Amino acid sequence: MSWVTVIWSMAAGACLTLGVVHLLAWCWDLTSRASLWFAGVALSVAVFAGIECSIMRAGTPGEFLALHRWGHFTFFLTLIFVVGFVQSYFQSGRPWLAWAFIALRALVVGLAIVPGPTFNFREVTAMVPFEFLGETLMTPHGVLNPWAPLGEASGLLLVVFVVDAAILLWRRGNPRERQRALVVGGSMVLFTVSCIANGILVHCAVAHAPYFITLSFLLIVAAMGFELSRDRMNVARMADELRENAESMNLAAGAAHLALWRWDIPRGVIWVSPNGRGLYGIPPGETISLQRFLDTLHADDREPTRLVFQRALEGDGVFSAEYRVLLADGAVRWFVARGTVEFNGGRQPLRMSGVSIDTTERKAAEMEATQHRMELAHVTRVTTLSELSGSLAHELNQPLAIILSNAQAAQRLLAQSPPDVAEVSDILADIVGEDRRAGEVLQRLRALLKRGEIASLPVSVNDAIEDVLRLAQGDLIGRGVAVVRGLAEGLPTIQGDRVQIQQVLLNLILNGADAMSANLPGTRRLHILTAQHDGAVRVSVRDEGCGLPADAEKVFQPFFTTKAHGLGMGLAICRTIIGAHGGRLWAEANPERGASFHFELLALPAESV
Amino acid sequence: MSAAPGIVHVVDDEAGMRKALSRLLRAEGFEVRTHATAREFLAAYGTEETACLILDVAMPDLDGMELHRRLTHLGLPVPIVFLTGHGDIPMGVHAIKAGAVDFLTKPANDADLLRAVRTGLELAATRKAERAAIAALTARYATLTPREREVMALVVAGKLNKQIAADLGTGEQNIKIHRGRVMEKMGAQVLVDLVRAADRLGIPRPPSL
Repeated sequence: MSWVTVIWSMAAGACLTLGVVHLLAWCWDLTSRASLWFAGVALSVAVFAGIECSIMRAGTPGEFLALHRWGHFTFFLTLIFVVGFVQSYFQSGRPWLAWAFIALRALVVGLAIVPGPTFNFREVTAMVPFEFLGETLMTPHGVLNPWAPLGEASGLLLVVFVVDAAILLWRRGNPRERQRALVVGGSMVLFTVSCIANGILVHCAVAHAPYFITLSFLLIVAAMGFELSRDRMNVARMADELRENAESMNLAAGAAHLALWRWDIPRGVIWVSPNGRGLYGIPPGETISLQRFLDTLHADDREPTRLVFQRALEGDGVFSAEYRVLLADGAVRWFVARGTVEFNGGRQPLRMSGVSIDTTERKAAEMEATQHRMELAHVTRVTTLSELSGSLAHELNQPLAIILSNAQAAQRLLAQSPPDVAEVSDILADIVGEDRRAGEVLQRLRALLKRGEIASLPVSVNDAIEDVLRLAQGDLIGRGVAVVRGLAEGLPTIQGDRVQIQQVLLNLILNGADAMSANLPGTRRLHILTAQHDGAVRVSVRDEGCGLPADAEKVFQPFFTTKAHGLGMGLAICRTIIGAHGGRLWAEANPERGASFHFELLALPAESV
Repeated sequence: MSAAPGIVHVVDDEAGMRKALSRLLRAEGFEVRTHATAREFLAAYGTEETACLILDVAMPDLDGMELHRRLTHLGLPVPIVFLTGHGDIPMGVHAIKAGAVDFLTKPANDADLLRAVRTGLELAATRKAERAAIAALTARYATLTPREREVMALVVAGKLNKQIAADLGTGEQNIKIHRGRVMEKMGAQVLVDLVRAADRLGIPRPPSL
């Protein structure tokens, strides 16, 4: 066994293996064109290795020329595969350079395989033996063909093509692509140039040496294979990462009660994340159409939701809906869904993807908040009522007095003879009117009359503020009021009725918001501050609104109001409440703009907290 | 029961109340004038009339209590019946002390109201008669000579003719003549009449000896 045979066979074997592996990879994934081209390169180099190995042992010029023609043909294929590989792997080569090279090389091959003299030699006179790696090999001697430099020229053209493509790839600036350009492009240039040099040496018989084309191309194949494998590994790693991402997304979606979905509109199929199916009560594996999805909804929400879908498809592609899902066990879940539609160039909807959020718990919280608001309103009513008792009594008393006097006048008129019937008729009309008025007062009273229990417990003022802000949030946002919080940390609690304290806060907050209703949008800032002051907790609500009347105390008087429909009781009640808690409530004008309302309540000793 | 002569003024800011009271009082035969505000009443009130006032306490602008004070201040003691929606005991006591005829709360019993109005009108009539009598006496008194006034003052002080003569340094007979003229000019039949007239006129009596 000679070394040459061993080396060339190993080269052929390696190329063969790589070629087959990548051919299989291409079969697996038909889109990986680079793999196909690479397989072509590797397999043709494997064949070329065999031919080259035989050429070195060709005993006669005839034998040499025949092998030489086959070598040219195989090499031509190798070069075409190389060009194809560069084009599909770099995606930066200039097509005209590629075609120019192929045309030139085709001419070379054409000249090489026509019968008669071969491309490189006009005539091969003899085969000259020489020693290489302890073996006697043959090298041709003869007259060179004047066309021969065309081969070298085509080689240089390939170098130009590869260098140009590599430079263009390098300029894109992506580190990974730069590495490709350097490794694959660099090795191609280096080993193609070495091939050309080797060819010249052999053909001109400057030195007795075998062809090393196989070995040069083996290195090119190695560089190409190395990069391709790295790509494969990257793809595998990315796939792993993607899978991990998808898993974490599913986990997060599950934890957040989110359903991710994508509606393939042409196919009419909706993909829903696994936990999303659970939320909607759709068993895994079942194909989901739009109708199947709509069927999961509460009957009242189906049509509106369908319309929202339709609008999104026909309109700006934005989907936003809120609906209830009716589960098999009769439970109702609230969802908020948001999505966007992707259109193709012709404004045809392709797919809609989005997310649905299970807001059942939030809905429950909202309902609870509404309950709280009702309780707050309750206290307001009860307090208002007690504040109003005097004027309410008067309101009732007045019509009763008028009715009585009228009735007594009527009695007298009827006792006269003849009775003044016209006057009595007037009187009766007045009595009816006054009775109605009294009835209305009673009705208003009844609406206001409800009892609320008042508790005296430790209250965290900051928590109470946050609760109230949560209640008022929607209102404040609607009015464009921005709340600036300055809540002191570690504030002691106070003793009192949380609902009543919240009522005061709500009143002050809404008053502040009202005071700023004439402000330009963006200048409606409401500052809510808490602080500890000599054993008391102080709460300040500062607005940037229209300010206070010259006599600030006036605002605390009952029936003082600046609002069209205000009762004018709010601040009076607030003062009553704070007073009942042993604190004080006062107002002052801000130095620059608006008013500040402050109240102080006695802090509880730390041990009772 | 027939109505006492005189005018009943009703001051109340509530039209329905004015109308109802007016009906009731007219049905009883009273002459009624209604006013929505205290100022309206002040503009319409004739000082010489026999009048009684039904007055609401709580009114915007000038309230009932304030109007009462003003009338007193102006020397117009119109008998006042207060009629209020929400009165309390201190307010009532205050009103009565200030000379109100009555202090009633709405809804007031018609009998109480009418009784108070009659009392008020009677009071007004009495006061009017009093004023007329004093005016007549004042006119008579104006006809007395200075000497006669001196004599009258001493007579009503209970002095005997002899003492008066001594006091004035004149004869007893002379005093007798003066005394007769005083009695005649003052329209007094007996000494008691003269004493009463002097009282009403506020003639100071010299201290008894």
